[in-house]
Amino acid sequence: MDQDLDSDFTPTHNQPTKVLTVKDGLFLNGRLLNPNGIGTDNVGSLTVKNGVIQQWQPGRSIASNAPVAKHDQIIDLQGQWLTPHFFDIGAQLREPGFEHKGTLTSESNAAFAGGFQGIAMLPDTSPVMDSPAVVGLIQERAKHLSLKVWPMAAMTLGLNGTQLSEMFALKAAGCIAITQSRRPLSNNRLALRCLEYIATTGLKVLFYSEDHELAGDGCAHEGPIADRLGLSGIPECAETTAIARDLLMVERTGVTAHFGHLSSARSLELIEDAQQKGLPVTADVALTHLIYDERALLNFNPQYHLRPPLRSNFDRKALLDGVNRGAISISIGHQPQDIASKTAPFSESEAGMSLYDVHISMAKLLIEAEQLNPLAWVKALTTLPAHFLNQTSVGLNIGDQAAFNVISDEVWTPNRQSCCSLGGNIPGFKQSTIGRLSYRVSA
Amino acid sequence: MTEHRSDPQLTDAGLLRHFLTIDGLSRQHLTDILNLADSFLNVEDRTIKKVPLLRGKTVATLFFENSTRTRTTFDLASKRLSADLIHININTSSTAKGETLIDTLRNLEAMAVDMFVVRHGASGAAHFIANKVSPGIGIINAGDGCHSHPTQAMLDMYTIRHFKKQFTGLKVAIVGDIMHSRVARSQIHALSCMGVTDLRLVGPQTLLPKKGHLWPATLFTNVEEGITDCDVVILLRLQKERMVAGLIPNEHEYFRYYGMTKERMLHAKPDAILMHPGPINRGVEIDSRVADGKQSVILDQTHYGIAIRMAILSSVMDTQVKTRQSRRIGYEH
Repeated sequence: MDQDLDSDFTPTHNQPTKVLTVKDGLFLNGRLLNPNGIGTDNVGSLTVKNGVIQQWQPGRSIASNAPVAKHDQIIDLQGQWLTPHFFDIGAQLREPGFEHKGTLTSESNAAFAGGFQGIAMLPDTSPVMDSPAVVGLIQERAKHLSLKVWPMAAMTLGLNGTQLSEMFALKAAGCIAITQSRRPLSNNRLALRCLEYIATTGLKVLFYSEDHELAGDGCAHEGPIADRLGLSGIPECAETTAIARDLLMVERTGVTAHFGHLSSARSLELIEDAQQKGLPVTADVALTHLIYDERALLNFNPQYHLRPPLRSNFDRKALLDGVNRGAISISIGHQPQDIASKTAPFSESEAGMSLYDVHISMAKLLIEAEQLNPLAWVKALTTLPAHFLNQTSVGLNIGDQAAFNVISDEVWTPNRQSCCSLGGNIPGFKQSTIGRLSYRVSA
Repeated sequence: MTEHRSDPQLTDAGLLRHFLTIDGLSRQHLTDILNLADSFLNVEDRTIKKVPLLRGKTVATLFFENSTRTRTTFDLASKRLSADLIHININTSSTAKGETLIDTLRNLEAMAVDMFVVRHGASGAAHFIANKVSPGIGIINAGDGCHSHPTQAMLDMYTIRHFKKQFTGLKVAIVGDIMHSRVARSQIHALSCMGVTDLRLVGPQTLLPKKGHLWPATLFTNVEEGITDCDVVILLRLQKERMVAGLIPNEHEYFRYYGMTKERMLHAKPDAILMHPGPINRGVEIDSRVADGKQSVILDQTHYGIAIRMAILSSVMDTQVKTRQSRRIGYEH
C-alpha cells in the first residue's frame, strides 16, 4: 500500500499551533534568520518590551545569568530559529465549491501552523472568483481566519479564456492581483487585451505560464523517466514558449507581473534576462520542485503528480541556485486534494500536494543537506513575495511589533492530529520527520 | 531528494509476487519463465489439454481496453491450468457508471478472486492495482497505457530463443511507433536483460524516443540503415490516432518510407526472422508478401503466447500460495 497517501481520513478542524503572547520578555540563544532587518543570520538575544522589539544582542548567553528581575519571561531558545512570519502567493484554499478537499478555515489554519501571516489565494473556486460578489463572500468568511487571505481575481469570466472579467470592480472589491491560474488563455489577441486592460487598473498579474497545446494530455516531464514509464510528456518548451510570449506582452503593456511555479532552468534564464532588461517581473518556484525531481515518479506514485511536472535534477538544482542567489522566491504550491482524487492510476489522479503543514520540515531536509541556504529560504518566503503583495514591513526591526516564528528541530509525525489541512495528500504522512514551527510569538 | 521504493512485483526473496513489468527483473527471472513455458508447450498435444496447477483458483480478466488475442490466450492459459475463469466486461460494469477503479477492485476482491489479469489505458494502472490489492492476490499486467506489456515481451523472447537459440551477439531492430508502444518498452527491457547489445529503434523522429533519454539502443530514422544485418526485425502496429495527432502525415507515406517490404527485408540477414505483436495492418507497416512470407514468425508468436502465459500465471500463483502458507504458519505460531 502507498505509505504517503492518507487512507485513514477523518476530517477535523485542528488548530494546534501554539501562540505565545509576550509583552515583556527575553529570548536567549536564538538563531535569527532575518534577511531584511536586525541580525541577518546569527545567534543572540532578542528583547521584547511593551510588545515591541527593543533590542537585539548578538552572542550566546547563559540562561542562569539572565537578569530575571527585568523581564516577565525569559526563554532560552537553545539555537531554535527566529524568523519573520511568511507570505505565500498562489494557494488553493478550495472554498467555495470544493470543501471536500479543504476549507478556508482548515487550509488557513495549516498555513498558520506553517508560520505564515498572509497568503494570496487563487480564483479557481466554484463559483470562480471573477465577480465582486464572490470576492466579497470570501472576504467575509476570511474575517474570522487566523491570518490574512488576499483574493486574486480571475483574468477572464469563469476562467474560460474568452471574456475579460470586471477588473476595476474586482480591484475595488479588494483583489490584489489578476490571474488566469493554470487555465488556458491561448487566444493571443485576447491575452494582449487582458494585459492592456490590467495595466489601466494598476493591478498586478500572476502568470502560471504553460502552452496548453504543447502540454497536451501530458502528466509528466517529457524526459527519460516519462519515456521509461510510458507517461505522456509535457515538454519544457510548453513552459518556456509561454513565458516568452507572456514576457513580450509584459514588455509591450508595462504591467507588473509575477511568474509562478517555474519548473525549469531555462525558464529561470528567461526571467532573469527580462529582469536585466528592466522589466517589472518577479518569479517563484514551488517548494516541491526544489525537493523532488522526475525520478520521484518511478513506481507511479500519484502523490508526485504535480503541475507543472517535476523536471530533471539539473532543473531542480538550477532553481535551488536561483533561490540561494535571491533571484526567485518560493511558493508553497499548496493544493489539498481529497483521497479519491489521488487514489487512481498516475495519469488519472489529480495534481498537487497539501504542504502548509509540512513545508518547514521539507525545507529543513534541503537545508540539512546543505542544498538550501537557511537565510535564502527565509528571504524567499518573506521579502521576495512581500514585494508582489505590496507588503512593506516584512523584516524584524527595533520598534516593530513582536510577531515572529520560533522554529525547532522537533521530531514529529504528520497525521490527522498534528496537521490542519483537510487534504489527503500531505507528503510523508504518518512518517517521522524533523523540523516544525515550535510556536508563534505575538505581542 | 527522491524516494525509491522496493520493486512491488518481487517478494523479499526475489520471487514473482505480481507480473507488472520486465523492468527490474533479472535474466534468471526471464530464463526461468522461458524454461517453464517449454514444459507447458506440449500440454496441447495431450488428450486432455489441462494440468491441475491452478485447480480451485479463480482468475479474473479485467480488461478496460479491447483485446482479442491477448485476452483469448490468457483465457486458454488459465483453462489449461484448470483455473476457474471469470471475465469482467468493463463496458457494462460499474466503472462505466462512474465507480472508481479502486471500488471495482474492492468488490472483486470480496468475491475471493485469486488473481487479476488487467489491461488498462493508463500507464501504471497495474502498479496502482498491485499497490492497493490485498496480500495474497496476484496481478498480471496484460498491458497498461504506453508503459508495459510484459507477457507479450516474454512470448517474443520465447520466439527469438526458439529460432535463434541464444541472445548474445544478436542484432535486433524494432521498427515503428516506439514512443507510444508498451510492447516496445517491454521488448527493450527484455532484450537488454537477455544480453542483446546491438538493439536499434527505427522510425520517424516523431515516433522515436528523444535523443539522450538513455535507452539501451541506437536510434535510426532510416529503415534500411536500421535493419541492416539484423537477425531479428520486430514491427509495431501503427495506430490511426497518430495521424490525427500530427505525428505522421498518412498511412501511405508511412508505408512508402517505413513499411516492411520484401525489398527492404533484403537489408536484414538472409535468415532473419520477422515478428509483429499483432494485429497487423497490411499495407501500412507490413506488406502482405512479408507478413505471409518465409521469414515471418508472427503466428508462432501467438502460438507460444499460451505457454508463456501459463508459465507466468503459475509462477505468480505459486508465490502467492507460498506467501499465504507462510502467513498462516506465522499465525499458528
